[in-house]
Amino acid sequence: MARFRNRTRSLSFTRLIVFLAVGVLLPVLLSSVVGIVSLARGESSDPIVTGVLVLSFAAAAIGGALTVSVLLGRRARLARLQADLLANVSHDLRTPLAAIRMYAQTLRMGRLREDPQRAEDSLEVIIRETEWLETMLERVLTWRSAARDRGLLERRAEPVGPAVEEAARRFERLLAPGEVELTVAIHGQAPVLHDRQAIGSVVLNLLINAYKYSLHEKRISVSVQELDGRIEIAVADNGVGIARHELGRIFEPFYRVDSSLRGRASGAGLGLAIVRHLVEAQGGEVRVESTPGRGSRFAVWLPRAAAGTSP
Amino acid sequence: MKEPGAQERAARPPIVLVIEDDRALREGLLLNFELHGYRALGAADGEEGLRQAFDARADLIVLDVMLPGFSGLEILAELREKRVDVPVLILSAQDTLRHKVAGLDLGADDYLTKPFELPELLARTDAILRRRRMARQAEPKIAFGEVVIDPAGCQVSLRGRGVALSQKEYELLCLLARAPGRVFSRGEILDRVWGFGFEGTARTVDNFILTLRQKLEADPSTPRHLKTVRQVGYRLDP
Repeated sequence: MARFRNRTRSLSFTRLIVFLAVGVLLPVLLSSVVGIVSLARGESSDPIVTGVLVLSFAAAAIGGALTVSVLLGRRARLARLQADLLANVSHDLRTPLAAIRMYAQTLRMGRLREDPQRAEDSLEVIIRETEWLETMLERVLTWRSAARDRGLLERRAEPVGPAVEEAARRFERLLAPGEVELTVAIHGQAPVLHDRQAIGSVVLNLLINAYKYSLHEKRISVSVQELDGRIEIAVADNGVGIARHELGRIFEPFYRVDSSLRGRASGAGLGLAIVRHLVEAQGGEVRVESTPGRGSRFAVWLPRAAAGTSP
Repeated sequence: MKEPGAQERAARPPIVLVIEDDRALREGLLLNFELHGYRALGAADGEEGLRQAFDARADLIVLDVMLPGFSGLEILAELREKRVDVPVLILSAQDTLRHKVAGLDLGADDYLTKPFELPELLARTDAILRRRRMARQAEPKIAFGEVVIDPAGCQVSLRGRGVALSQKEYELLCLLARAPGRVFSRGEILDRVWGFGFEGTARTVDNFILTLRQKLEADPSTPRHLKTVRQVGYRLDP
């Protein structure tokens, strides 16, 4: 159903442009030309009326032309974003794929026959990298469905702790032992109207974001607490931080911070866009505080459910 | 790996520097290069990579493009601008013709896309190192006075007898001897021999020149070849 709706929408968009160009612009331009010619040849019975008509038609023609060019520009921008998305997503998928293939070939070439411990470690890396692949694929699929429909969330009033813990466990499966010092602190068991899978996705995306933008001795904490009748889920890191002028843009889809803070990690630029979308779809908001060079703290605020709430 | 040629001075394994931010890939590459008989060094971000590229005197750099800090292409441009001619193999997830051409135009020696085939990567790194070794062996000997420098074996002799020089002494001597008569400032010598980010001063260069004079000049206090150019730097007169 969603797919069908989407197709009709993009079709009508193309039709609109064609209709504007052929059905409106062309007759208006013709009328203007006819008016100008008749004025020039002095054949008009009432030059003032004809002049006013010519001016109105000309204004309409200019307006139409502007509308068409704006619409065409938007189409081009959408196409470019789509191309960027493909390029960036393919990078996200190729990197773990390259690691998997390399470790598998290392094993197949028999290079670790004498070293069972390293062979074992290589298998662990392969398994971890498949987790990355799966996570990156899920992210693209979440984005696709998020971009199309908002109403697919199954919200229940329950504590967010389990969803957060599950996300932390999934995050740990992506990491080599000892790679990140991760702390999880869940306080506040108040019920929150939320979709468990969506909140899990939010927390996992924030954790991956923290991981990508931390360089050495990565320390990441995730916490849940109740404050002023709301629930805060926070993910804090000791990473490169975000420059003040970029704070407003990081949640835009495909946006990635520039390299001035030595934090230009590669990626599709979808993680935070998904976070914002999923949080806002559940009536919450995301805030970020950051000190360049010291780290960032992303906080998701969700309203506490009133007793006996149902979706 | 092919056995190093008999002429190669000491059996020093080639040094390969891997600049790659993805930990699994970086560690896997280091492991495979070590197993292949190279000495492998790793850098996880652009800044560290650039520093090591200048300091480690690698025989080959395997370079990722999308890195935190400086991008791989920025590192490559910086190396080539400073006339560091170490071979570079770009290993990137960007697989379009435009990216490949841009990388090679900037001075990369080879370009492989991710995911890559491990045997192909190793064959290509071997090929690059082999070409570099052959180019070195084909380099003519440089002679001035009674000193002969043999770039193929990185050896220096005085009146036909070998002179023991440290790596930096040798590089400094080669720098001056390859452009006889040209004056090099101390800053330029520091950049070219010690590399980017080195915390030394002009005194370092002076000390190395003093040692070279003691080892190579008949009368170190009135040098015939390693001349000081007052207020500028040094020059080698044949």
